[in-house]
Amino acid sequence: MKTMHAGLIGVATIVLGAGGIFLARERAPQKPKPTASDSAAELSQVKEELAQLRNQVAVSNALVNGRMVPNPGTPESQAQPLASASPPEANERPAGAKPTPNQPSVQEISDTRLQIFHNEPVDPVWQREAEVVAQRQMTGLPAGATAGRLECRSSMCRVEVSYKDVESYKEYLKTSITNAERPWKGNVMGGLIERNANGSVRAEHYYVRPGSDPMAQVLAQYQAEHEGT
Amino acid sequence: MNKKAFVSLLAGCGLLAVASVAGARTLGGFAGRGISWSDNSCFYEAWGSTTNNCTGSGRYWRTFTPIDNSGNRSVTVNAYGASSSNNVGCAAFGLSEDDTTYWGGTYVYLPSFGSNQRINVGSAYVPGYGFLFVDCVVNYGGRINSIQWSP
Repeated sequence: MKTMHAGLIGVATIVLGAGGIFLARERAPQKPKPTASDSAAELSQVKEELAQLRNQVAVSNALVNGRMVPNPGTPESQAQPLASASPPEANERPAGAKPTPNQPSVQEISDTRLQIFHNEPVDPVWQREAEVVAQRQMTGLPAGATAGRLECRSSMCRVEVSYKDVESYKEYLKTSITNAERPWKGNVMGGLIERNANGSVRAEHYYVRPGSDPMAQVLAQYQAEHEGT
Repeated sequence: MNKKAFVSLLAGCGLLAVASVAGARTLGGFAGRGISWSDNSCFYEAWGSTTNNCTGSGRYWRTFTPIDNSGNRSVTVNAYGASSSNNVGCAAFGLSEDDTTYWGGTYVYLPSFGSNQRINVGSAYVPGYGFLFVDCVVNYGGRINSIQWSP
């Protein structure tokens, strides 16, 4: 909704600004037929005005998205978007997949998912079958990686794996997780949960039962816990 | 440029920007590349689509699909295979901005052969500031026509 508001404000700014330019020009005294140099100057002026309009839209969008606080007493048109003033910080990003309101961070997802996993009942039949396939999936671990105890419950299996470094972890993702021939045919998810001073990392990997949607559970639980906050 | 036309163009661009906030997005199949550099020469272009022209094992193709907001993002691929020997299978992956946390990834294959088909790849979760890519494994003669996703 915020994005839509920003878009609408942007459009309104463009249309009103352009309309203003148009009317101002129409009311200006008639000039003789322009020469080539007149046209070049006019084009330059239009470009400058367009740049000003763009800046106004950027300012409006930044204000609507909460990325910029107008200085009291300063007209909006004089405020500068943060993106142009300094490199974007973690909470002042100019673009990308904006976090949808009430959606958890990567860390919160990891925490909530682990909680859901531990609270799941065990489906013994599926557990036996799943562990066999998950073990085969883990044979693709790179040299130097050490897997912890694999645990399967009713909608997913989980294992923690230590890698010698981030590159080794990514190598596993590249060769085994995105591989169409991988043993585990259901969804997969995971991420780093620990980074050590010597460069080694620890990751969690989940192998999801086909037809299950643990992420829907994660999001529902997170939103229930944060309702009204 | 005529002033009125200029104003109309500006207004039109603004409306297009608003319209693009919602709905699906589409790319032609050639808007991707072989994951392995050596496979790039396998994928040749024909009217916006791409076909694997290399025999042997299936070749991996990847494209990145820009998204606007975090959440589950569904993907559909329109593809063609004359027979099961020319199969195409695709999977979607959501990644965190630091490229370490991942979601998704069930490979789904052509439902039938001999005509253009939609592969419902399903969805992958993309966190805030994260990104989404789609991988396809394309057998010899398999063709990716286009890819659609929710931004």
